Parts: sequence; structure tokens; C-alpha cells
Amino acid sequence: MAALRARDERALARLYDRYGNAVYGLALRVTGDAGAAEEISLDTFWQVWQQAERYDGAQGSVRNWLFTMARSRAIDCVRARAARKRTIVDDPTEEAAVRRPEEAAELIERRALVRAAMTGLSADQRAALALAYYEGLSHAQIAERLQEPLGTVKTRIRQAMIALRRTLGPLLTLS
Amino acid sequence: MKSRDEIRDDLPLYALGALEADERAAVEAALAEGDAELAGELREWSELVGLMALEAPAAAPPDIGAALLARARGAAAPSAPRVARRRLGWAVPFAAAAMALFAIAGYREIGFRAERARTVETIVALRRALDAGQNEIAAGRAALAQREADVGGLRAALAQAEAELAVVQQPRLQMVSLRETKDAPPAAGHVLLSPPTGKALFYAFDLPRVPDDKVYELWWITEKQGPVRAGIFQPDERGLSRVEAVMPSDAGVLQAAAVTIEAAGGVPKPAGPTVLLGKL
Repeated sequence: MAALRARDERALARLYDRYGNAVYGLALRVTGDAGAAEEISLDTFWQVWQQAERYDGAQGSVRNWLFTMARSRAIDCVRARAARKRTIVDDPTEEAAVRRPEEAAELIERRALVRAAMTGLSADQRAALALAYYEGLSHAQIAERLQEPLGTVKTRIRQAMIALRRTLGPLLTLS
Repeated sequence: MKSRDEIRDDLPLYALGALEADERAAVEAALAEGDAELAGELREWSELVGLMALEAPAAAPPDIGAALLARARGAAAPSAPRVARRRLGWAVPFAAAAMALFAIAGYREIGFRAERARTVETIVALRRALDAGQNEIAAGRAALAQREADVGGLRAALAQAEAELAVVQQPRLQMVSLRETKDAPPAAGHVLLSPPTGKALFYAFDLPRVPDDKVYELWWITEKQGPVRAGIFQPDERGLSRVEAVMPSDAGVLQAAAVTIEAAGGVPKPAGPTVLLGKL
């Protein structure tokens, strides 16, 4: 991060090399629009470059800062285009991911753990979590969408998060 | 006003952005009070939310990286990579060069990363196998504990049956029936007496359970000492009551057996209502 603050372009390239596909995949999953995902990816990394000096390490990892910005931009984009029919990309393939070979291994190792954790959740938990994470819905909106009691949805999300934390705990300490 | 525990419960949903406005405000107010522990927990939840982005990576078009670097170098910033391709013709060779650099740098690490990826996949598989094994061990332990409990119960039942058999196998066995007294709920009982051994077995049927601060007490009504304590009991869930008693040896003739309701722990002399009575 210090290199980014020092306006070192190589640091920006390394950051993009490390997280470019993940940011693009997230934006694509949320928006269902490849063009929008490209724009969001570019703008997200650009914002990191411009605001590197504002980054506060005490508030979380760079990775989390980056993903939070990308997700927020993607959800805003979807909301702004609410009238447009959205197609969710459910499962981008590994084949697509390995088009950037230098990043493939990194993606596979983390994705293996995240996917293992996700598959450990119940279908109900995954559905509620996906509506919150990818569509930015509140628990009240999720309850309305799923036609379930508010308390049930809230509990389901909380339990899903606790289960994820149990499985992904080791990754939380990695940058 | 939410309690601190309720705020803690809301932290994962706050990190996920799934709280309603008023709930968000409550969490933020609590955080603003400088609670370092809450802030630490929120950081952890936020990192977890960040990790969820890794669930579905997709191959980003290569021109994003080039356009990003072009922007960083002060070139005219395109609003989108597709626009960049149209307007920045000079950036195309630059993009190719930049991507080549990415690739060269990346390939240096690819062997290490691929090995690491295989290791992680192995770890994931082992972790799943370990979880499955631990579940089986836990289930086995639970089954074993149940078996041990069953064996313990059977041993106790066997010991009881042997004690009862020892009484009823004695010669000169006497049996006395007991009936409910006037105004007492319907119930019955009997006493098996073995004078040669001085042992007695008392059974009662259909006695209702009494409150926790009360107990049933069995009495021998004797010629010389009047009522003599023979034991206290509570009916089991089937309404069956059982007491192993000893016949008093120096109280003269046994005239009757009776059951009263007394304070928990029993009393030296009967004070409560008599519910069963049988003359010997």
C-alpha cells in the first residue's frame, strides 16, 4: 500500500494482477452485464489509485477495501438501471478464469476455500446471503422477496455468516 | 434502545449491508462510543464479506489492465475500456506490452502458485475428511455412552430383581393388601413380609405424585411402639411405588401397614393424611 501511496505504477499493476479477475467477476455477477463489469473494475482500481492515501489499514485489508468499493459500485449500477432486465451469471467457468494464467492459481486456491464454505451452507442460507450480497437487499426486502418471516431471514443470514466465519477463519488473517 | 448483545448480533448483517436504516444507525451509534471490541468484530465480519467476492471470479478482458495503467500514467482517461479501444489507438501497443509484462511477471510465480493451489485443494479435501471422521467418532461415542447407560440400567434392574427374588423365595412369606382410606384418591398396594429374614417389600399402584416439598412415608403400626418408620418414596412415571423395608424386631406384633403424606425427607411420627392402610 505504501508503494501505491508513492504513486508506484508497478504496485497498481500488481494489485490488478492479484485481484483484477475477482473484482471483474464480482461486478459481473452483480450486474450481469460485461460492459458494466469492465467499467466498474476500471473505476474501482482507479479509485484505489487516487485515494490510496486515504486508506486506513486499521479498518481492514486492502483486499476488503477493494471488494467493498467494487460491490458498492456494482449494486449502485444495478439500482440505477432497475428498469433493465438483469441476467445473473450464476457460475463463471474455471475455463474463463484461466485465461489469465498468472492469476489462475491464486483464484483457485482461494476460490476452493470460499466455495467449500459456501457449499457447506443450506440452500436457504445461500439464497438469503446471495440476495443480500449480490443484490444489496436489506433483510426486510429479502423477507418480502422470499415470503418468509423477517426474524427467520435475519437469523438465517446471521447463521450463514457464522458458518462462513468458522470455515474461512484462516483466510481472514491473510492480506 | 438495543442492548450491546443485540448490537453484536447485528454486526454480521451490518457488514453485509443488510440492516434497515434504523438498525444501521443503532450499530453506528454504538461504534461511535469507541467500543474497541465491537469495532474489532466488525472488522472481522467485513473481511468475511470481502472474501465472498472470491466465490465467482471471471476472466477480466485484458484491456482493463492496460487502460488502468494508461490512466495512472496521466493519459486521457477513458470512461470505459471499450471506449479506450476506440479513442486511444496509441494505447493498444502499450496495452500489449503491459500485458506481456504482466504475463512474464506472472509466469515466474506460476509454478509456485500452482503447487500452492494443489496443496490448498489437498488441505480442503483433508479438512472435509477430517470433519467427516470427527462426526463419525462423535456419533460412535454417543452410541457407546448410550450403551453404557443401558447396561447400567440393566444392572440396576437385575440387582433389584435379585433382591426381590431373595424375599419372595423365603418360606413363610406373608402378603398384606393395602387399600385407599376414606377421602383418599383410588390406589392400592401390598406388602410382602419375610419374617425369617426380617425383610419386607412394599408396592403401591396408582398413587398420584405429590409436590416436591412432600413425600409418601410407609409406616409399620406396631403393638409396643405404635407407628414405626419404614421408608419414604415417590411414585415413578408409571404410578408404581416400591420400598425395600425392614421389619422392626423389638416393637412387638405388627398390626398394620400405612402410607401417609409428609414433609420432604420424612418425619419421626406420622402427621399428614393417611392414604393407604392394610391390617396385618
